[in-house]
Amino acid sequence: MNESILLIPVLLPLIAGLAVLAIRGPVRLAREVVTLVVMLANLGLAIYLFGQDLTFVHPWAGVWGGIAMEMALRVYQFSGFILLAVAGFSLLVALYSWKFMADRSYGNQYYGYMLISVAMVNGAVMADHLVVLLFFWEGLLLTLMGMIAIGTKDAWKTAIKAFIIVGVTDVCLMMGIALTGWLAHTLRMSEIAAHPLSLAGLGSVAMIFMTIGAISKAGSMPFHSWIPDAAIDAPLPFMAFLPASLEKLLGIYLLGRITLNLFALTTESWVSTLLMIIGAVTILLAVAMALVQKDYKRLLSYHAISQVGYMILGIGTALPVGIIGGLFHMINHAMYKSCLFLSGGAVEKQAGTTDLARLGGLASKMPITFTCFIVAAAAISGVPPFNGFFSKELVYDGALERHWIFYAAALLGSFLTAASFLKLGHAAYLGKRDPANEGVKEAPMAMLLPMIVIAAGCVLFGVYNPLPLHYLIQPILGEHRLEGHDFAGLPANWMLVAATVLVLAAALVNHLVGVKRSGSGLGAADHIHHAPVLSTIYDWAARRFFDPYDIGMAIVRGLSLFLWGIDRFIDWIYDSFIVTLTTGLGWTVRLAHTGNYSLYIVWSLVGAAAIIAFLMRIL
Amino acid sequence: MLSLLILVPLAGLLLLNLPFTPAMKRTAWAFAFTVALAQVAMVLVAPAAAWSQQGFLAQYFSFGLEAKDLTRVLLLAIGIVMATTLMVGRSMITDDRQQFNFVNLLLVSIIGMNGVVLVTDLFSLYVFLEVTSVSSFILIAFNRDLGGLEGAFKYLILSAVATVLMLTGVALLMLVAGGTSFETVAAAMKTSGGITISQMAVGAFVCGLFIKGGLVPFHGWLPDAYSSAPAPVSILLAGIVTKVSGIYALVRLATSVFPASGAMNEVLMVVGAASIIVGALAALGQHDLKRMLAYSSISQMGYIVLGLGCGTPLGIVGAVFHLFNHAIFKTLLFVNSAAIEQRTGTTDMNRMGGLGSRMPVTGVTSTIAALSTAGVPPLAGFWSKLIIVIALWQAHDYGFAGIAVLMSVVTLAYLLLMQRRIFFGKTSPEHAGVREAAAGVVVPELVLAALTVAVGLLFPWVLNTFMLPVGGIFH
Amino acid sequence: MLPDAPELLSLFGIGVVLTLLVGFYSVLTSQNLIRTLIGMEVLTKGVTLLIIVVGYVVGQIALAQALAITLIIIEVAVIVVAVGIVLCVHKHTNSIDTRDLGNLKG
Repeated sequence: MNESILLIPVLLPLIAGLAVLAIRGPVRLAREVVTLVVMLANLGLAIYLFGQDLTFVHPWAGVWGGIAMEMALRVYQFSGFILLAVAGFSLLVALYSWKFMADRSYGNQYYGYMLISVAMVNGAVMADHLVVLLFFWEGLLLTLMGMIAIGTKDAWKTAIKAFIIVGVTDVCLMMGIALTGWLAHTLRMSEIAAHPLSLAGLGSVAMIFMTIGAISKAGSMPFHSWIPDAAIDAPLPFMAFLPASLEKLLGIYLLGRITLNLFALTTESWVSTLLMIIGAVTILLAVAMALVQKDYKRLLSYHAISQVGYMILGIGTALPVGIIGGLFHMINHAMYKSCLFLSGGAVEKQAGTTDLARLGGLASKMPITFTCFIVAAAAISGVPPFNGFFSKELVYDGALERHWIFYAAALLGSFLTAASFLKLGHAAYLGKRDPANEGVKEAPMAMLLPMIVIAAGCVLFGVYNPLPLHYLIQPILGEHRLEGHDFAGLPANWMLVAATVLVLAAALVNHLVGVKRSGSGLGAADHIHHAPVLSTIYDWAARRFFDPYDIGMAIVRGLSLFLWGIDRFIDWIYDSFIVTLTTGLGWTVRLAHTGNYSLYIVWSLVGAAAIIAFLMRIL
Repeated sequence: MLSLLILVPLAGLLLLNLPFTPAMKRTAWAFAFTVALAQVAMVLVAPAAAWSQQGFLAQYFSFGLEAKDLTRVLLLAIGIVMATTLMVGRSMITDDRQQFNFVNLLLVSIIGMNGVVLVTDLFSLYVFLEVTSVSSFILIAFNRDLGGLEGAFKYLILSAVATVLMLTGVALLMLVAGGTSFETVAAAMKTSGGITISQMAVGAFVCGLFIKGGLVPFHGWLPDAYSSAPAPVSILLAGIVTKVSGIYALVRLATSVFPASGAMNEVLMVVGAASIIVGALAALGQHDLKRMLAYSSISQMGYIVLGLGCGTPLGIVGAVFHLFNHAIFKTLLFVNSAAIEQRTGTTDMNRMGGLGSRMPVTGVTSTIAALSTAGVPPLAGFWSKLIIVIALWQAHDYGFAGIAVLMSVVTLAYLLLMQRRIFFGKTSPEHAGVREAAAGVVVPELVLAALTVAVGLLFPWVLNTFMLPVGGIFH
Repeated sequence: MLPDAPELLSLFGIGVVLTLLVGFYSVLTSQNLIRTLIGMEVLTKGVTLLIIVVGYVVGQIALAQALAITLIIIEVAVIVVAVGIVLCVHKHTNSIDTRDLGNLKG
């Protein structure tokens, strides 16, 4: 078939999105219908393209420095898989948004940006040329900003913050791409994949830069601080859409391509260790922050950050088991995190708030939502037989093989994750019901359907994990990399499973203790919050001591004050010294002109005499 | 045909002053204006044949006239500035009798200046210089106020000194060459240019020209004369008289008549540099607008002479181009000062302020002229200054090139200060009611500003058509 | 050039120089405007003399005479203007002191 078909996943949503943005006036349903139709078409196309290996190349901007700039798109196992996932999630979120956004005024922009985002993500996923990737990557930045900014009144501040953070890391990505191109003498990813660059010297620098871009998009620390703010300010389905699913898919996809295709990541290189450290730190710090949140959405957003740590840790191990685990976790996380966000959205819509202090006892009122929540929460905590359990086990296996400390960190993270979700579930759905919530009903079907689908997927991918592993994930690595392993089925190492079960049980015990102590589900984690050292750290974190964005901004402010001071000083030198000199001389000259014409005549005669004498060579 | 340039104004002058035709008085202005415009048109569109000295007139009026490229540039400038002065004068001099006198004097001035640029004889040069100067003396003292009288007197006295110097030079040259025409002297200079008497003669004559041109240290009369003259007269003086008297003659003589010698070039460059520096520094602290512009003129003359002293054809081209540009933008600046004087009645910058909003055309054209003077691209002044600096650099006169560039900064400074003090800031209460100047002043402003911009933008064409041929002046 | 050129030139040359000196002295130092004008006249006469002598010595006496006459005419015109200026100054200040003409400065 014609390779130009690859352009459709990019152009169709883009045009539809621009059209929706341009619609004015009361044609309300039209945009939802257009969006859904386009998403369906996108999904259909993704299904069609999945499993194929197609490349579309078109010359674009000539040749720069020996490297051709082409418009190159490629569908193969990895990108086809991501394309499919993206299409699926976008459709589900679009369906969900129908009801959720029903009474919001910014519907046009929301759907428009959503469609354009899908176009951008499609383009980025299919990109085979690094500059094309960069182009779509940047485009996603703009729609990200747009979708945040249409939320609450102060949402534009968060949009700016997101723009700055993601923008800076995008610049790192740009530099990484430039370096990579220079090292590899080509910018076509499939060409580089034939001979992945080694990490000696500049190679590791290039990889670090590109990795920064990738993991920042995925939402890892330390580039994460805009996500919790966005959780509050942006419309909620946006959270399910971009940070939870699409961006993770895109970011980890790029990280995967970096480690698998572009560079030869080995277990000995320091980059691998660095990645694992970043992963572990992200897991722990983010989940610690999540534990003490009192808002449904913020809590979920910190977890989103935390789970990325698992993915990075897995890929960073540079072992087949870890990489498979990381990639599997990527798709799993997309599923259960979006389900969690969607449930949060249902609560927000039906109960009117996401403040955990004002929720409670909703289980009986919103049973389906509650069930989906339980499934997703169990999956994220790593409870067998859900999908999260299996991917986490693979990651544990890889981490332990590298160094026990990473394993310990991951396990501790699981403990805290479980504790956190026990608290969330208890506070929101169990316990005493707030009288104001008496009239809460179950969410509308358009919102429930996506949740149910995804929750079912969590179960499916867990129980029948050969399906995703064999068809989706393992083909990414290819036969020779897998070295003959097959990670489907039950986890190989029973010890690890036992450790996990122990940890989960401990989390449950901790929760019950906490509930007893504080008297409510919400307070279940308070004893951790107020533990001696931890409470100070939490306090600082709450006051944004650790927010790299704030720290960065403070440094920038300090630096600009310093430079301004230097500038003032140089100005002063120019202003006073030179000006005084010139005006002094001017004053002298003016004084010399006394107005007496005899003086002028004398000047003339003296000058004439001097000139004549000079010409006569006397002088 | 060339004689017409002198004879037509002369005839007009005679006819207009016949005592029994009062109607003539009314047409005087129109006549003068037509002459000026005709001169401009002649330079721009006349065919080559018109520039030769054939025809029956040559038999009767036997002073040799010649119009090569340099002359044509100056004729164009003379025409433009004359037309401007006439328009401004008509607007600002309200009394009819005064107006008539003014036009008469301007006709004399045209005769003098055309003569200066056309003749090929040293003594004739002197004669026409004096004609121009005499008309200038009277024009400066036109309003018979004490200031104008003082300015005129100082110019007169220094002009007398210049006369002495020039005529001494002429006499001594006659001693060496046996005649006073350019050809005779040039021929003589080729053979005996190096002897003491020649050098003395050349030095004396050139110093006389320096006085006329207002170069340092011979410039004492210039600020007083420019600032105390009535507004239209300042325009004339600054725009063309000083240039024609001093600079044209210098260029003509230094390149084709007097021997080209390193010493002469040195003198020119030193005098030029001194003029640039003194002019710029003295302009900084002035609070009288016209006095500041007068010092600015001295400074710009310095640039021209500096380019001339460079000795290379490129330097000459730059100098002549700057001469032409200066005629345009300095005239424009003085027209602006005339506008301000017309409406506010003063030229004291301390009493002005915030006029930009009230006199928008004046403000904008003044800014254009100031930027052109300072040498800001893409206006005309930038190109001519650039050529001069390049010529200096190519001739390895790095120090002088540096001075030229450095003083441009000072130029920009005082001009911008001037702009700010006059046009921006708070409107001073005593001038709160001013309007834009009269049409007779605004139209020249616009035309001149358009010319500056056009010459700047079309600089390659102007350069090729008018200026580069001047570089062939060496022989 | 005439055979006795150097002697003539030296003799008249001294005369010219003296005349010029007197003229300059008068112009530079007199406090009376009229005296200044007379000094100007003297200066011009000096150079006229020089031209005549030079013309004679190189054999171009006709040219020199023409030049001298032209000079005299020009000088008359200049002096007339100068006296006119002095008269107007007198109208303003009622005196002919040169120091009255020192107001424009700076």
